[in-house]
Formats: sequence, C-alpha cells, structure tokens
Amino acid sequence: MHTMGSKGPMTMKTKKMNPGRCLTTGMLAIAAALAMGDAAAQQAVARLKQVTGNVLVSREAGLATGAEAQTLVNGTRIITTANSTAIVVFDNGCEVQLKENERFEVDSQKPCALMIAQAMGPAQPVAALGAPLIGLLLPAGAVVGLATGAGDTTPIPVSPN
Amino acid sequence: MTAAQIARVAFAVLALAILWRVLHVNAFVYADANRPAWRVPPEGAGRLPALRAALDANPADARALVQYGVESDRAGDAATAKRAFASAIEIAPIDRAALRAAAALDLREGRIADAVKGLDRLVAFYPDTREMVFPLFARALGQPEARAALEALAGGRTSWMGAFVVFACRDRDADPMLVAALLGRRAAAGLAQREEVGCLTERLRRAGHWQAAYQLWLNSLPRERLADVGFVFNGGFEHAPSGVGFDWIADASSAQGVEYPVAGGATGRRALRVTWSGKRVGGPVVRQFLALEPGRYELSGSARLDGLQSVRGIQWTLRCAGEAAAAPPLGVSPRFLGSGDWQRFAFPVDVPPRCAGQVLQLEPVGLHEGTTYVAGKAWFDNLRLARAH
Repeated sequence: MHTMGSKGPMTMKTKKMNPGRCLTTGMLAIAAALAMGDAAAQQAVARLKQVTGNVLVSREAGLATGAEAQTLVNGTRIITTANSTAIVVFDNGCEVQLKENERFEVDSQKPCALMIAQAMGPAQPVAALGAPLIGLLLPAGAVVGLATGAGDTTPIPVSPN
Repeated sequence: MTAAQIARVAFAVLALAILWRVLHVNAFVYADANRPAWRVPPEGAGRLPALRAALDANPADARALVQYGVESDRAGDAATAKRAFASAIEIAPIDRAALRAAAALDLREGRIADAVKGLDRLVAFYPDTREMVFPLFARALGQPEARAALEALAGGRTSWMGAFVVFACRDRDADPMLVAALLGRRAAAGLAQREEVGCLTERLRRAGHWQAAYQLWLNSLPRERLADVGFVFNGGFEHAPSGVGFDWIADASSAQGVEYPVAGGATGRRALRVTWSGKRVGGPVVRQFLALEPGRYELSGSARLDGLQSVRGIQWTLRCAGEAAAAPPLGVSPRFLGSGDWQRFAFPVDVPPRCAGQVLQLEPVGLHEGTTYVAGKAWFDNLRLARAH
C-alpha cells in the first residue's frame, strides 16, 4: 500500500474566553481581508470578443478552449493557435487584438499601450540577412552540378500536352 | 497494274517507311534502349549554331533546348538561356535536366521564388534529388524570400515537405525556429505528421525554445483535443498517447511494460497500467514534458497497486527539464509500494523562475543513485495539475 496516510478529522474544543481569543479573532479578520483581496483579484476585468478558431484560455487546471464573451480575470493567459484570432476587451475600454500563434497575459494594471505591445507572437529567428544569396544557397560546385545535371541519365519525358 | 498490285506496292512502301523510321530512331536517336544519343556539338564557336540548326529541324527537342540554354548562359546570354529553359519546361514540364538548369539560373540571377518553384517540381518528380536539394533548402531558410516561398509551399499538399521538415530538423545548421515556421504552416493545414512534430518539438526544447515547442505542438493537435489541454495533457489516459511533443512518452522495455487498458474503478474508462517484470530499471517508465509558468501548483491523481515490489518503491516527480537527476525535484509524490485499491494522492509543486520547461515522470525512488529492481503492477489515473492559492 502506498505510504500516504490520511489525517484524522480536525477536533474543536469549547473554552472560555481567554486572551488567545483576541489573537484568533484578529487572525480571522486578517484572513477575511486576505480572502476579500483574493476575491477582488479574481474579479473579471476583461472578456473575449470575436473569437475565431481555437483560442485557449488558462484556468485553474490548465488550458482549455475559450469562448465568445468569456470573462477573464487578471493573470489569465490566452493562447491563439493557428488560424485563430480573438480580441481581449478590458472593462476600461482597452482592446488587445490577438493574431494567430500569440500569447497574452491579462493584467488590467498595465497601461493599454503596453498591453497591446505585450501580445507576443512566436519568437522571431535571426535570419542570415546580408549573406550573398547564391553563396548561401549553393556550396561551391553546386551551381555547376545543378546546371549541367552531372550524372543525370534520365531520359527526356514526353510532354503531357 | 491491277488495284490489288497497287495496294501491295503501297503497303510495301509504307512498311519500308516504317522500318526506316524504326532503324533511324534506334540507330541515331537512341544509342541503346534507355539512353538518348543526341550528340552535343563539340565545344567551340560552332556549338551554338549547331544547336540552333538542330532546333530548327525539331523545335520541340527539349534536350536540345536545355543544351542551347546552357551554351547561351556560358556565352553570357542569360536572357536567352532563361527563354530556352522555359521553352524546354513548357515542352516537357517534368524534364529533369531542364528543371535543374532553370533552377540553377534562377538562383544565380536572384529569382529565388522561381528557383524554389522549379526545385519543388524537381524534388516532387525525382525523389532522389532530395539529397541535393534538401541541404540547399535548409540553408535557404535563412533568406527571407526563400523562406517565404518555402512557407507558401508548406501550406499546400507538397509531397516532399514532410520529409524536408524532418531533414531540416535533424540538420544541426538549420535554425529550428525557421523550420518551426514551416511545420506551423503544415500543422495549420492539418498536414503535420507525428514524426515531424516529435522531431521538431524535441529540437526546440533542447534549444530552450519551450514556448515555441509548446505552440507548435498545440497547433498539431486536432480541434477536439484542444478543448481540455490542461497543465498535464491527457492525465486521464483516455486517449492513446502519441509519444511526441507534450503528450505522454512511454519507455517500454523488457523490464517495464506500459498499457492504457479499460480499468474498473478509474475516472473515465481507461487508466495507465505499468507492469514491471522484476528486472533492473534504469529510467522513468512514462514522462510528460510541461511548459508551466512559475508559481505554485498541486498535482493530484489516483493510484492502484498490485503486488508492487521494490526496495524503496516508485514515485512521480516533477523536475526542471535538463537539470541533473540528482538535483532536487520541484515536487515529489508519496512513494508507492505493495497493494491497494484506488486511492487519491496529491503533492505540491513549486516552479521557480528560470525553469521554462519541466518533466513529469514516474520513476523508481532513488533513480539517480543507480538502477533498481521493480516488480508488480501499478495503475494511475486522473493526473491533474492545478494552480495552488
């Protein structure tokens, strides 16, 4: 049997008021405040609009398909797949357009311009710009081989016309 | 002369004409059964006129046109060469020599899109030319115009593109991100094959491009599988794992067998069943790469054990990918040993910054210390990773 064990039920004891109760009450108040803060953090701040294709939205247990008008809380990640687009409409009016293959994290605290810039496409590779094309494409001798068809013994095919 | 005699003479003349044609073709046009014996005029100033004369005699001679183009190009007349090659291809659209010569000229003259188009046809009809063309294409990916032409081809039903993606994926000099763009087009068109996705997601992962690898893999999934990707994909084992990308990867061997049978008492229909034969085990039996954002998570699941014997048992671990096996994992499950019916388990996982990729795997406890003996069976189901608050 695997070694994980189940803990027994929590027990509660009734006692008279004591100085510790004040501390407990205080802690409960702090916990309540934290819970309220957490609830505020989970408040919807945006929604999805004009969803086309497969748009994925992060949830508690990972990515799942997003839907039109789906509400979004801060921290939600949105991923558009191939041939998919969506618009994230914030309650403050900011609209972020997501093209295909982009990632975006909802954060209503950021300025709108920054959020628009935040939509990240796939990282762009460094292209070998400036390299002479023929040298890039063809190693030494390849042009001759390609042009003359060295070793090419295939008969001329008949035109299909 | 009677009508019958006239007919006989006419028939004899016709027969002689046919015989002459057959002899002429075999004796002068073809030296043997397979090789045309059209003789290229000797080098020198007289070569072009001789070719010109040959083409005057037979303007539809594609091979002569190709030779005429090659000679014109050598003489510095690239425009005539281009026209000659184009005419040859028009007459014989899949002529190997014409396609090669035209592509070489296009490349040299900077007509990259045209060159790629011609080479596409060459490779499509003559698969043996892949050996020559694929390395060119792999290098050409670094050039925007060539890349655009190849990406345009990748979105269509180009017969060789899958093989080229695998070739470029295995080419150390090819930038995997450039190859990923090609495969992305194929995936968007529903053409990506398992081998391509597997090779490239692994290459991207090894290069540290975890998000790109994840995106590529997502794009390769059928629509219905995107409905619930989760942090752990296919944690219920309801679908046969593909073994590539960010799906489950099994390492079955004589020491450990992996199956996904229908299981009574499991969540859903199927579950993971691992059978250890009692031999030495030197690695994880199943694993899945993850691309989690930094943060706190909880991994939960169900386990059922059937005579599982090992010195220290087996466990699920979640580690930063690429770290040494002895490095502390980001999370470890309880140890599994012995027998017992389905029971839930859970353990916390902390993903730190600078840990772009992770791997979740089932392994013997103390794997980094060496191989260990494991026997018996274990079932797992409903593995789920959720953010912890």
